[in-house]
Amino acid sequence: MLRTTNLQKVFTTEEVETTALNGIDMEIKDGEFVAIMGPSGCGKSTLLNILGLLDNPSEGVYDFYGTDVSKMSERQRAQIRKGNIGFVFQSFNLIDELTVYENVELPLLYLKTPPNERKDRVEAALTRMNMMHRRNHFPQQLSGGQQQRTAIARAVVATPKTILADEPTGNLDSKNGEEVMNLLRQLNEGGTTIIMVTHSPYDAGFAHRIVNLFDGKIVTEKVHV
Amino acid sequence: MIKNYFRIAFRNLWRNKTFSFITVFGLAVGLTCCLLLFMYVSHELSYDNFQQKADRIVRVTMEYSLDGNVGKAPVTGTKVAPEFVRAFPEVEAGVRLMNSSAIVRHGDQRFNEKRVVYADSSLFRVFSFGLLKGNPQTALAGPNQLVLSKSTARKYFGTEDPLGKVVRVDARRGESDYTITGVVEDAPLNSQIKYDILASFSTLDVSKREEWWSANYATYLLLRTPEALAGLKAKVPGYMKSKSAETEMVGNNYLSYNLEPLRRVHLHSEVEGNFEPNGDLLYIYIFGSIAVLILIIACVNYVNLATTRAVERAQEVGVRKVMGALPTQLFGQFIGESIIITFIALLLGLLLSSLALPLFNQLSDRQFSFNQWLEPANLLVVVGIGVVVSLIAGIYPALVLTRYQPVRVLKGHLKTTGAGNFRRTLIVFQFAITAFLIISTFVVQNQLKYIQNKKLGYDKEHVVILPADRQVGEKIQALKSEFKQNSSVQQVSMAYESPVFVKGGYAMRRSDMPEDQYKMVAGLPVDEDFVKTMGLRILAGSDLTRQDMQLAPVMFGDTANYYHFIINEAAAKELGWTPQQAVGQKIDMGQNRKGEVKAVVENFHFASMRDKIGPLVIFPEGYGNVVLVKLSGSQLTNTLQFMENKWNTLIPSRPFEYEFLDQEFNKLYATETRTGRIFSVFAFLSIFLACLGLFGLSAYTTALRTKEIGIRKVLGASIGSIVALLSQEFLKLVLIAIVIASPLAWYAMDRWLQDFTYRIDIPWWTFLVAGVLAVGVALLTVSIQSIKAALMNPVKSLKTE
Repeated sequence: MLRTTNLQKVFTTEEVETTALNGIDMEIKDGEFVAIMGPSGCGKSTLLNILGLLDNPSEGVYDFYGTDVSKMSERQRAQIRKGNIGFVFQSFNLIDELTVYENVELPLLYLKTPPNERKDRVEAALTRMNMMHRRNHFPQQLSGGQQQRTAIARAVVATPKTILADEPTGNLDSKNGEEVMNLLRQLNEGGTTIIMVTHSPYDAGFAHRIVNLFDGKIVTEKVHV
Repeated sequence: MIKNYFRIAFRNLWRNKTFSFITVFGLAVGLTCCLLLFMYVSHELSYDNFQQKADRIVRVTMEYSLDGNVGKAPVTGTKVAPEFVRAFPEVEAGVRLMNSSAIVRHGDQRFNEKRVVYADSSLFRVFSFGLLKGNPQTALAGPNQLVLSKSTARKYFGTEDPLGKVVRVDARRGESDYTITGVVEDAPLNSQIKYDILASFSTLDVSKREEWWSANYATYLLLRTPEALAGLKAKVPGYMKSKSAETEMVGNNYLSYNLEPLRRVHLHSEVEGNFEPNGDLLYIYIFGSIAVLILIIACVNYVNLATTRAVERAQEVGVRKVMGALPTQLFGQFIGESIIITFIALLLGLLLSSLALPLFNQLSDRQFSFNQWLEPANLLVVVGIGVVVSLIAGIYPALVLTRYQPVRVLKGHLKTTGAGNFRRTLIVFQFAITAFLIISTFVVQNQLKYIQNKKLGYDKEHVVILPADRQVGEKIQALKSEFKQNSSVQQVSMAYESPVFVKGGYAMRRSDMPEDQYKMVAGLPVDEDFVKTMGLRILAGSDLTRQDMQLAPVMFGDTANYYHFIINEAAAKELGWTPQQAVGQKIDMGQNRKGEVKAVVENFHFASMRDKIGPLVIFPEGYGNVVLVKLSGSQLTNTLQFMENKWNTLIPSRPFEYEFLDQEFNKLYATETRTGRIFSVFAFLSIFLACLGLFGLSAYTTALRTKEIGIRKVLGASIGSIVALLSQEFLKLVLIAIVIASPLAWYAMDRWLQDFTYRIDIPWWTFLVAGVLAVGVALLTVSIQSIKAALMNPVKSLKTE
């Protein structure tokens, strides 16, 4: 379970202080599918970064499966991140110099997974995402949908408990977007917790619960049945 | 994981061909320069290291004082070696060497051997010259014995065994048969003693007498222990004082000896080398610094391009961090990439340096071979250079890249790398080095031009020097009249040595000076046609005549009745006369040369421009080592052919060899000329490398500003204003670099010029020209990119976002 208590995030530059998050209390249960919505600049991505252990809150507590991670160093966070959280980005963020196979393999390399097991798991993930036939292609040679499927394969290859998706369909057409959302739903049905930031009400419809942010605060929460 | 790094490094190199080319090629050129200069420096530093007893061998040099004039020479009389072995228990052995030349004949073969070294039989006991054939104890023991170097033996005898063979040797002291008693390894290139033929010292008449004076011999001592040197050095002056009656040095006059450790002779001695010119530590520093500077320029290119490109790699770093990469792992990855790039460059550099080696040998006047790189010690240095460069070039980019915050880069917040000031500093540094080298090149070339064009006081154009000996001397009159049959031959004269560099030192006194007072002067024995041949200007008095010659001795050692001297202005002044007063005054040059001043000639440069023109006495004596022939300059080839024919008829025993006086003159400045050439080449390379880096850098920064350029163009900016915008930042940096480099270059070059008594003042325009050159080339480099960017359609450039 993930739980935040009075989460604050303030960005300070030389001249201005911007409060991106202002007292966020939320709880995400194992196996839940949560969508975070809100207008641009409301703090969605900041929240997602903190939930994904890419950033620390300025104040408040973040309980990540029973550990307070809010004061951890980047090094400690990196250790927890790998294997526990998978990321899916709007702009895919595949490494251009690596092939599909090599991109998917990357998290396992950092986890020091033995070569044989690595091969099996990468192939399983690629098969699941229907990308095996493209395994030796480079990202530039793929369509947007294929790139995002690769990115999802990379996110799931280490079988993390949680996947964070930041506008995963933002750069895709509706057909490919639909396909990606179906994949996420399948993962969720398999037991993976999914937290997704989106602008699209349609995509949000896939979630169990929608959290609406405005000016760094939760304004409404809606639970689907 | 390592495989993954390698893969990504190679794919990166492959995908960014411009960047890769600039980085790898730039580093390779830098490493090539560094490798070649390292070869030179390490060669100079390795002198005599191969001598197994080097730490116990010392060279003896002479120091004497006559009336307050202190002289130092790399030679001693014949007595020093045997006397020191007898008198000082710390001396184990001594060896005397004399460098000479001889015509050697075997069957039909006839060669003028220029590196004939007469040596005591103790040579092989003291030095580690490997004797391949013969007995080291006896090979040089008896008179008329020769030991040939391996290649000389091959030249005369091919594959035949030369031991016991007899050759005819025509040396200055006469002609006789010599028996070959050994074959020795060729003298190593890094040996201060150079020989093609070793001859037994006991052949020489002088070997039978032990004399303090008549200092013509290099003397080396083998000490019992290396530690004995300090004590022995301290004992010598006292010992020599006790011998003052023998040396005839009384009162404040003295004769003493300095001892130099063998390995310090080539670079650290204050007196010259006996067998070849010594090296100069200054030039070791200069070349070493150039090597390091060029390498730094190449490294800066790498650092600059890599940090600029870091923007493009930021996303990769972000992804890797999100996937759980630790900072140390990323750091390792980027250092690894720099190692890969450096070692590709290093391999290319080795290839380039092997291709450039013949050129470099010409440039540096050395004979290096590529095999030297394959020696383990050198290979270690090469690899060491590679590792150091990888680290120097790789650390900063690796730090920059590792520092990226994944949250920021993945969201595309990163537009500048934050390394702008550091990069700017590096560019300034690079161009400061370049400007420094350009200015230095100009100054060195100017000084060389100044030396070439300076009025020497004699005519160095179209004068041919023919090496001569006793037999030529006997036939000189016949030779003169035969040569003069050709109308292109204007004058012919015989002299003891060429007027380019007069080495002979004499003690001269005015006859009214007390007996024990002398002035040290340079002296040059000549014949009656010397002044005319060299075009010297007589200020007072009249030229030497045939009658003057007849009063002078014909053979070395003869005594003459009466001498007619020609002195230069400086000598007249030294003796307290005006040129007019000097004529007719009585002077003498030692016991055996008494006479009067017949003429005073205008000062001319008979030594290097490093030294002030000193007093010189020219006097008639009938023997010489050179024949000087003044030609009109037309039909040179025919005239030389004509002279060769005449020579061969008159003097069949000696091959016809010639050299032009201006070539001889240029040899005086060989080191400077070499430095000038090396400076030019490396200044060019440094500007090339700096521009290569600038080209890459401007390409990337321009690419980063594509959106800005698009917006400006939409708003109505002209192409010219955009080119100016993109170029001015780089130009500012280059200008700052020139401002920093100018005073440094001025200081360094002024120090270098202080070596010369006759020198240029550093012209102000040197800095201007260097500045214009650097700015011009930089502008050209940058504008290629900026014009391209400025011409781009704004719709296209705005789309890149």
